[in-house]
Amino acid sequence: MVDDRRSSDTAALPSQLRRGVLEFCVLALLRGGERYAVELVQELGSKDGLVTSEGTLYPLLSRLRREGVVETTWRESSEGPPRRYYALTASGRSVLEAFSSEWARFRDTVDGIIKP
Amino acid sequence: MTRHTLVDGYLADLRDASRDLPRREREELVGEIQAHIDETLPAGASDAEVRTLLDRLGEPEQIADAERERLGIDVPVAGWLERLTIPLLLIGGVVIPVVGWIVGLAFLWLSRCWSSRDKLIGTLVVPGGLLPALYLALSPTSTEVCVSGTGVDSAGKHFTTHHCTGGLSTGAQIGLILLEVVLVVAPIYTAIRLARHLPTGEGAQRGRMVFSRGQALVIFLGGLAVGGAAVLVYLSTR
Repeated sequence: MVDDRRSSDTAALPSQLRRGVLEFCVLALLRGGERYAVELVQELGSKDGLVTSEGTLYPLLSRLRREGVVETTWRESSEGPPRRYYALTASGRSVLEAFSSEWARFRDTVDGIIKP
Repeated sequence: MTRHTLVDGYLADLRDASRDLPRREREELVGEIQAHIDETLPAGASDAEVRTLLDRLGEPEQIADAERERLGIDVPVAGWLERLTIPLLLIGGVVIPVVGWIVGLAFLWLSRCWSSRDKLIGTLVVPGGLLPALYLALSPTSTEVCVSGTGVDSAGKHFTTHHCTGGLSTGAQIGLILLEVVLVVAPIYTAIRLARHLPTGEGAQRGRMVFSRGQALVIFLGGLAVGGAAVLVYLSTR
């Protein structure tokens, strides 16, 4: 069941903000090694307040593929049709590192302003 | 494996919501969502399980919007072009013979609101809109020639002969009436289909018409009047 708290939380946070960081979350999930699409989408979908519509992650994955920050390979699966596996490319890795340090700075700054 | 009807409906909605996207992108998107569903859904899943999964995937319209954003395509909104296209295709060829329909055809293919399939149907069903129906109704199809004469037979009695050749058999006549009905109904069907497939822009709801009820009624009645008149003219000249 989709829990109600999750959807109300995600509605409260401006969608542009969520969308802006989402692609870096995808890259970060791939840091530990390749994963296939369904696995990635379900994991992102289960995080609190990150994704409202799991289906919209597929266009995002296509974009990352075309930008060359991830690469994909088709692998046979023991149960069912072949799966598309996603992995970070070298350029994806450096994009992720750059974002990580920038995000830490940004978060500290915003925290410093909004915390009472 | 037979897919759940809810899933079929969802995929059809997604296809419909992304009909303005390039074919390759649309097929890839639908294929990925389909693969996601096939992989996630356990065999013999209940309706509730299916609904939860589709709920998590989100509205088809939302997914199509995300793909449009990636491709840098703005959401197509029906404007004056589309509002003119439908009446032009239907009765444009009658009002301004042939030319009106051709203008409508150009508008149809210029619009981003309809899928290629709808555009093909709009072009082929029926070329000229209601014009062929009117043309058939007004054209004389009877080529019957009758010869009458009088004569005197061997017994000296007068007689008259009446002999007709050519003309249409009953079967051919029924065929022509059926053709006339098809030529009237088909363009009206196409006009309704095109109107129903127009996106309404913000928060588009499937099947909601872009035309106001009044406008739709005028177009529909106009089509019906021209079509009905064609049938009546056709039948009265028989």
